[in-house]
Amino acid sequence: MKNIAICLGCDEYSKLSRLNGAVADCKRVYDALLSSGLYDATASGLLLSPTLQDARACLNDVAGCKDLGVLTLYFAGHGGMKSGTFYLCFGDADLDKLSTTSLPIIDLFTVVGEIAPRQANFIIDACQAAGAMFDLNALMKPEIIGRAGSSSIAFLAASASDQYASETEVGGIATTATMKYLTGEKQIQHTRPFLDLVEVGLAVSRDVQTATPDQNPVAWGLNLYGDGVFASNPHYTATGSGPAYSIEGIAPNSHAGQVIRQHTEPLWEEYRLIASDHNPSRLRRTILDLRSELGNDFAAFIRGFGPALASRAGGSEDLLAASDAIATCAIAMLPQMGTANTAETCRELLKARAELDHQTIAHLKTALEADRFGLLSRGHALADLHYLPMRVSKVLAWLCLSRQADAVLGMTNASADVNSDAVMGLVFQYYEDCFVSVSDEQASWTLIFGALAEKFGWRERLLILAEKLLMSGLSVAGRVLRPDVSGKTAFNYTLARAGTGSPIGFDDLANPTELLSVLFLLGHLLGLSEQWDKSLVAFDGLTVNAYVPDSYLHFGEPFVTGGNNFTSRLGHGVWTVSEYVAFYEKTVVPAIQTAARGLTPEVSLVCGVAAYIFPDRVPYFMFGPVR
Amino acid sequence: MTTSPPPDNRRIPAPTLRESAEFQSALNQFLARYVQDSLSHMVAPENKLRLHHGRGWGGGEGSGSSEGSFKLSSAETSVPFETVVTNDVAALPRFVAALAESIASGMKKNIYAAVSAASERTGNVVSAKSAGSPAQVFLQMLQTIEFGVNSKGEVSLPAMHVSPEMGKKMLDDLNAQGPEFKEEVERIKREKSAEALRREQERLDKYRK
Repeated sequence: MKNIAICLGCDEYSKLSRLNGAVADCKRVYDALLSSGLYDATASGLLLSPTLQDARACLNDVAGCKDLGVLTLYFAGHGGMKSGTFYLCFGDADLDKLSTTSLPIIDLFTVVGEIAPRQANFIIDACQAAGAMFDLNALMKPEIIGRAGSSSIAFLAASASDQYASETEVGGIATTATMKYLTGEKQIQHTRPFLDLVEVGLAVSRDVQTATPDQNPVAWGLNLYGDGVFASNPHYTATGSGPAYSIEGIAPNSHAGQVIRQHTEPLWEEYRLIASDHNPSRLRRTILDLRSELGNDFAAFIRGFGPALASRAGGSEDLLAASDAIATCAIAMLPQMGTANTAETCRELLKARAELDHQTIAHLKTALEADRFGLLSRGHALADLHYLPMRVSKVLAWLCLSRQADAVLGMTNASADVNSDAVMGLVFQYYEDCFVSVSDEQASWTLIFGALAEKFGWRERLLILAEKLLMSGLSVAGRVLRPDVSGKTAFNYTLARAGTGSPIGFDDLANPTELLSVLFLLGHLLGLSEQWDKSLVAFDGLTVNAYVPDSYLHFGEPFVTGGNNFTSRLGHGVWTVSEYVAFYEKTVVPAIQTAARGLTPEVSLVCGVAAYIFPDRVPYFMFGPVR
Repeated sequence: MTTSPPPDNRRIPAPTLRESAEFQSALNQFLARYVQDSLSHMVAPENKLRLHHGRGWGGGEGSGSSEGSFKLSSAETSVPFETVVTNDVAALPRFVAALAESIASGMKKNIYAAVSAASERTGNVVSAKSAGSPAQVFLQMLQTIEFGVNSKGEVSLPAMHVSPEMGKKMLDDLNAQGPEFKEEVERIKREKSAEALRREQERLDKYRK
C-alpha cells in the first residue's frame, strides 16, 4: 500500500491579498511528512502558489492511484465561504466568482471517494477554514460523507468560520503548532508508532487557543480501519510486549475491511449523534453488529474507532460521555478478552479512559468548588428531584472505578487521588440529602461503591450512604423504579413519592429488586443488620434478587442469556438481614465463584465498568466474601 | 406550559437530557390537566373550543357564534436549587398547584372580562345601586337573562358567580323575602323556561324535515 501526501500552499494571488507564510508552511509540512519515510516521495506532491487548474491536475493524478493506504491533503492559503460551501482559493481565485475560480471542499471528499484510501487526512490552514468544520454535521450526511466512500477520515481546520488564520513571521500559527508535534519538539504519546491527525489536531487546538484565544482550530475524525495514521511518531518507543503494529491496520479490501465498509453508514451516524445524544446502549448495538463478523479483527477496529469516538463525545453536554464511549468499546470486547491482541487493546483503551477520568475529576472538582449546585441540570430542575439521586449514585461509583482502574493499570497518581478525594468530599458535603433510593439502577452503582469504598478510605462515607438509602427505601416500602423507565414514569413516581395520587403501576416498579439485595449485603458488612432488622417489616412481600451470569465474559451483552436469578421473598423465608446473607452465601456465592473463575484484574475491571455503564446488572463478584 | 431557563454551557455528569425532557413534558401535561380541572365548573366541556390558529374567533352577526380574541395567560414561579439538592419531593405538587392556580386565576379573569363585555354589548346589565337590595338584583337579573336548553332538551338554569361575601349577603336577603317574592321568582322561571323551550323548538324547526 502506498501513502501519498499532497501539500498545496499559496502566497501569490492575482485578485486577493498576498500572503507571506503559506508557501513556507507548506514546505515545512511536506518536508516533515516526507522525511519520516511514511509517504511515497515519488507519488507525493508539493505545489506552491498553484492556479486552480494546477491543483485540479494534481488531484486528477492522485485519483489515478490504486491501493492507497494514507492520503494526506494539506492546504495553506486563502479560503472562503459562500452559500454554505467552503472553497480553497488558489492563485487565480476571484472572491466574486468563488464557485468557478476556487475548489469546493466537497470535491476533496469526492476524490477520496474515488480512490478509497484506507485513511484520508485533511489539514486546512486558511481564513474561515473552520467554515468546513462549521458544516461538520452537514458533512456527515450520508450523501456528503458518502462521497468519501468508506475511508477513515481525519480533519483539522485552523480557525473558526468568522476568524482568520493568524500568520506570524514563521508562518500560520496552527501549522507552527502542528510542526512541533511532527518534529518531536512536543510529545503526544509514545506508545504507538504513528500520530493520528485527530490527536494532533486536539493538541494543536489546545495550544493555539492558549496562545491566541481568538483562533479556534477544530479537529475531528473517525478511524474505521484501526489506528489513525498521519505521521510517524518521533517519540515512539517499542516495548516489545505490545501488539505487532503495522501501518496497514485493517486493509479496506480484506474481509474485515469489507465488513466495515458495509457498516460505514451506522458507524458515521453514531459518530454524528454521540456529541448531541450520548447513548451507550445505541453505541453498543452499533459496534456489536460488527463483532461476530470481524472476529479477531474486532479489536483492531475498536482501537481506531474507540478513541476517535471518544474525541467526538468530548463535545457532549455529558461530562462523562467520552469516558463512557471508551468504556462501551472496551465492554464490547469482553467475550474476546482471551486473545492477546484484544486484551492489549482493551488495556490501552482503559488507560486512555483512566487519563480522561483524571482530567474529568479535576474539572468536576473545580466546578463543584465554584458552584455547590454544580451537579444540577440547569434545564430541568424539577426532573432532578428524580435524576439527581441517580446522578449522585453514578458519580460515586465512577469515582471508585476510576481509583480501581488506576490500581489495576498501574496508573496511580497522587494528584488524581487528591482530586477524587476532594470530589467525594464535596459530593457528601453538598448532596447527602440526595442519597435517596429511587431506582433499581442504583443497585449496581451502590454495590460498586460498597465493594471499593473501604479500599480507598471511604468506609465512613459508605456507612452514611447505606443508611440513607435504606431509610429512603423504607419510605416507599422498597418500591423503586425498574431500570430504563421513561421520564414520564419518573415524573409519576416522583408525584407518588410526594404523596400525590399518581398512575404508577407495578409494571413500572422493580420487582424483584436488586437494590435491597445490595443494601442488605452492605448492612451486614457495616454491622447494621440488627438495627435494620427492626424495620424490615416495611418491605414485607418484596422479592429480592441477585443475578449471576454463567460467565462474566458475557456481562456486557445487551441481554445476558446464561446465568441465574437468585430470588428470595421477604416474609416468606427471609425475615432478617442475616437470613438474607445466609441465603446469599449458600446459593449466590458459589455461582459467583464459578462465573468469575479465572478473571484477570483487567477483565474484572471491565465487568465492573459494564455494570456501571449498563446498570441493569449488578457486579456481585466485586463484593468478595460477605462473612 | 412550563418553560425552563436556557441551558448554560456547563457540562455535568449523566445529565439524562432525554429522560429529563420527558419528565418536563409529563409535568406540562399534568399542569394543563390541573388547570382545566380547576376551570371545569366555569365552562361546560361541550362549550369549550380548542382553537389551533389565528388571533380570535367569531363569525359575525347571524352566525350564532360568540366572538372574542385570544388573551395571553402567563404565570411565573420558581424552584430554588436548595429544594432540589434536599430532594424535597413535596416541591413538585407545590409547584404544580402554585403555577396552576396562578394560570387559572388569570384565565378566570379573562373569562369574566369576556362575559362582562358581552353583557355590556347586549345591555344585559343590572345595577345593584338602582335595584335597592340583593334580592331585587337577583329578581332583575332573572328578568333580564334568557334561559338556555341543553342537548337533552332540558332547560338549564343560569349560574351565579359571586364572591363568598356577596353570596352570603344575597342568600340572607333572599331567605328574608316573603312568599310573594318567591312566587314572583317561580313565575319568572316558568315563563322563561317556557320561552326557552319555545325558542329551542323554533330553532330546531329550521332544519329541513
